[in-house]
Amino acid sequence: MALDETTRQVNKRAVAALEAAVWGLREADVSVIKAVQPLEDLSNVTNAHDPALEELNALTVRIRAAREEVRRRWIAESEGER
Amino acid sequence: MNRPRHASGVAGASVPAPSGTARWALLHASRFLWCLTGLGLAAFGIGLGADAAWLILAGVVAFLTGASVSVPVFLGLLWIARTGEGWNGEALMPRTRTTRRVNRRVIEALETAARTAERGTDQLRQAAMAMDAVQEETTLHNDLADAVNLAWVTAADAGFDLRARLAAERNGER
Repeated sequence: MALDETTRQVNKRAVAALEAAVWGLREADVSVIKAVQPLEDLSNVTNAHDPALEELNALTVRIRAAREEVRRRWIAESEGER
Repeated sequence: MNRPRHASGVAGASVPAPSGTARWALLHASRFLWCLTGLGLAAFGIGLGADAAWLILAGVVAFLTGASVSVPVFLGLLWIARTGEGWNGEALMPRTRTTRRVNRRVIEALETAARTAERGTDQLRQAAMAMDAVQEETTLHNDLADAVNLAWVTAADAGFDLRARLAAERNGER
């Protein structure tokens, strides 16, 4: 029974950590969106900083992908499917 | 001398001066028309939105004065002198002042972007640390940890880039 207990504990900790990761990614997503907004406004005035805007857009895509995947696995872990 | 009175007027003044009643009517007709113009200006300005604030103001002032052309024109010129922009935002006074204003906007935008990007980096760091905790428990999600770490590094790079751009704008190098 010890093994079962340990697995469950491990699962619990993993779920908690995944949840923390989901939270961090969500906050990061919001932050990057807020960072993109002024640069988009800036894009109307000058195109000097468009590379930074593209960089942030790429970052947004990356964060979203990670966030979706982490969220998916968090749901799976917390339901005990995996 | 015994000159006839009708020949002593200004040369070419063949149109008789309007009588008192006619002058009164002309003045008030012009005032009425000016009021209409003011209302039209104001309505047009409201239709254009907040960008045309001075147009609305000029219309209202025109309506209220009902006579003076110079006041709204003066307000419009004042607006142009203050902002360097016409009512549609086009640059009417492309001078150092406008460039400086743009520069200030650029710096503000970059500051906001850099600050929020750094906050995002910090949050991604927390997410990456959480993924480290996940990795300590199980190796099932190693690919996820890599993805989060990559996002973290990318965000840090973007933050550095924004800081560098901000510094350059402040120094006037770029």
